[in-house]
Amino acid sequence: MDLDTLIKGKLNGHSTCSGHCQERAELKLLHQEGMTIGCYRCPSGYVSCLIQYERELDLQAFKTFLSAIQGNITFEDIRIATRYSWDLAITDQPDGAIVKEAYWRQSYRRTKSEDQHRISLFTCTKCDSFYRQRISEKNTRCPQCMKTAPTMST
Amino acid sequence: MAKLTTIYVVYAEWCPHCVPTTVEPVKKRAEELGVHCVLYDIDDPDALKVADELVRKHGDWCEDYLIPQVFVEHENGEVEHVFTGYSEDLELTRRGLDNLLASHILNQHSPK
Repeated sequence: MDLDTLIKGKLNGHSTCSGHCQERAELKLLHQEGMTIGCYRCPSGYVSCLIQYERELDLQAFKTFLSAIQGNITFEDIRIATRYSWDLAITDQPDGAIVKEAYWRQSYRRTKSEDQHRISLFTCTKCDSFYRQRISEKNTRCPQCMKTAPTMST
Repeated sequence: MAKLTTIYVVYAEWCPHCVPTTVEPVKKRAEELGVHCVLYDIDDPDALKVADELVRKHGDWCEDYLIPQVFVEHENGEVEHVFTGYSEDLELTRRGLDNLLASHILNQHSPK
């Protein structure tokens, strides 16, 4: 089973958007910097959680990626989990570890903020790129897609 | 494989992935198997020291590690990490734990 199929079949969760709204945050799989990244985001694009999935995690690469899109990331902000054949109910592979997950949550523990206008991480609902804006902003597209959006004429 | 003697759970009372999702079913299974179930509440400073050591040596260790984490010990003293909660979704934790309980990990090699 390839990694994308495994994630979509066994690790495809749903949760309420964390810290932004009450909508559902759903998983979008992205391939970034050679990594398979799961992005849990609400319909407005606010990122609740990013997950690196690999057979063997490269935490330095994940931290570098997070720092590039978010800044101010330390290893303390990243938490890990091992998924085994028995908890994934996979019987056609040898017993043991199947995949590992590294998690980063936005506005959590060390970086938690109650500022209603804090700068936050979103993904563009058109092109999936990451961008930052105030959490109170209503834009759902990145600055580039906003520039190229057709304008209304009267 | 050596017989199972003890199940350890590292948990917190305030964590919905832990209580009741993981702790209650694991306690019940330990009773059914006739093995010890040892719970380490990370908000108890003494339990935290042991939990940290367990997770550091055998589990998914990082500075702010995920809970719950479940370990099994066999009669030869071997300790094995077998489960970590799914931070992305409580339902995935529930499903993962159900799968673990249905697997050979917590069904064979017990003293009974």
